Amino acid sequence: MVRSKFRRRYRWWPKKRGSRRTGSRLLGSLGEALFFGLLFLLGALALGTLFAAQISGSTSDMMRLGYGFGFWLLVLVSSSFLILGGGGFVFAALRVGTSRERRSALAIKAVNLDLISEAIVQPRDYPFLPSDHDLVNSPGIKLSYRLPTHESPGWRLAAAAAFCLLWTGISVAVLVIAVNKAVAGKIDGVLSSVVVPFCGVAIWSIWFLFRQMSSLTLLGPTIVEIARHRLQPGQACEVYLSQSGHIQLRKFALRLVCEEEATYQQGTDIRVERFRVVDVPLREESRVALEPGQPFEIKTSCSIPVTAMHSFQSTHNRVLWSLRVQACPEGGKPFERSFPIIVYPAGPALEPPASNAPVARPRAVAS
Amino acid sequence: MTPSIRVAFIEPRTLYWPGETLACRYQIDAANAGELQAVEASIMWQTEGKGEEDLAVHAFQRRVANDATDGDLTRPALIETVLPNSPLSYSGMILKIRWRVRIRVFYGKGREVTEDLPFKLGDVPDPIAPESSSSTTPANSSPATASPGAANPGAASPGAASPGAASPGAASPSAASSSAASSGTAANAAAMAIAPKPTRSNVRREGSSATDEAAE
Repeated sequence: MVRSKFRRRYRWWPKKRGSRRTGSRLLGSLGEALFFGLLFLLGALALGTLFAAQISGSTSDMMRLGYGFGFWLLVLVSSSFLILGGGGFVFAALRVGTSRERRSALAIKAVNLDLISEAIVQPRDYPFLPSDHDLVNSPGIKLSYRLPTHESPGWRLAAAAAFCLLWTGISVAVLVIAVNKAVAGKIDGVLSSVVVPFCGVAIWSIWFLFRQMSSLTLLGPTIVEIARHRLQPGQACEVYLSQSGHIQLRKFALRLVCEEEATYQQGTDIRVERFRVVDVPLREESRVALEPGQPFEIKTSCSIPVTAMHSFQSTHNRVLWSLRVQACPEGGKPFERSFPIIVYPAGPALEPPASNAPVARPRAVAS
Repeated sequence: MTPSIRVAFIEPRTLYWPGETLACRYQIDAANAGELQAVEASIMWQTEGKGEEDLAVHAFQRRVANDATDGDLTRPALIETVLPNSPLSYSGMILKIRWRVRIRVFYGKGREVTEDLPFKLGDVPDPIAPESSSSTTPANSSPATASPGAANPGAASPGAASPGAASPGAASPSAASSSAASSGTAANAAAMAIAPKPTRSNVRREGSSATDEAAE
């Protein structure tokens, strides 16, 4: 019988990690059911008392709320207790005596229903591999498939802009109030002490925003294309990379990377850990000058190591394969852009998907 | 008295391949057969490691005591399924995927007992490479230097491609791993950068820097 490697010792102070049980499963379920049952009772009692007081026309000042905002707020709070408690109790009761395997089997049976399975993007023949939908619907210019980027740099810029605007607005308001008071001869010590750090953060946020903007504009979009989809361990494929921009790069590299990714909950935080298990440099260049209208292009090939694990994706764990573009601008901060690829399990060679679009006009590229 | 579970593969091996049929026979020994309420047999995989545990059942069978056709839960039973293409068994650095046959018996008043029979689906070796190949490739080393045989994994390891050829010796996961590692081409062995053991410095974590001791 396989036993958990985790200690069952219960500790009061540290945050509990994950949803693993540290004690009796039965006691845990009973505790859960008791908690939700009490919540349901509290909600029912509060709601009943509230309506009873309103209907009976209680003379007590405390109970006389009318049908104004306060009454409806109390109804809302009591109803939420009722719903959360009731729902939680039913869920806890259903889980008692039902094994995880049975729940999983039911869930998979539900997923296999036609209506639901059409909505879930996952290769049917290869369960728990990431969807290739984003990959096959975007043909490349030089090679068959243009890889979607893992994260858009635009989001970081938008977040920086939002923070900058908000913080600068607050800081200016605080500064104006402080200056007005100082002009009127009423210097507020607390306000004055707050103004300095507020303005400091505002200046930093403006500098950060400009840096993000300059890095985004100086370093243009990165295009990565591959010649073959449904790659398997041991197979090789052509890779095309185009980097535009207007900047001097100290170092530029293209790597094939495989990372294990684990997500877990610690207390109320959700943490993600990654471990790089494969890191193959495909190309490294030093002193690259990016000029407007003349993108820096690379054409090389990459092979998936024979002994490598295939891509994998479950609720909390992943094995991610990607092509990583790393660049170090002269005097700037290094950046990395990630382009996920999907590696299928080793076995008989797989046919490319039906939606594979042909390549348009192949051109010679400096390798 | 706690019922005991006997479970065994029909074919005496623990290494299976996608598309193969896995059959497993199990039997419950209980002093008081009337005490048994239900028996569940699953062929499933489960993740282990740093992250939250994920679990998925590939084949599931539940027998209950009041089932008119199969009321005797102590009788030997069989669970059989064609194994899927993925996910393959994997023993990574912070993530492990374990395939197993699990028999769960419900008995008495809400009590249960389980027995797991692990097996390996596929032959993905551990990502820890031998120390001798820890060098990384030069910047412009072309992976196209991989031998033609490497393009077809089936051709690279014919024994591995043929499920029937898996000898009982291959049942040992470690032996299977080493044989697969040696079948890799020299180019790929050199190209594959080595994964060091996970330490605080090389594991990238998003979120606050809480200690691992607290986590475990």
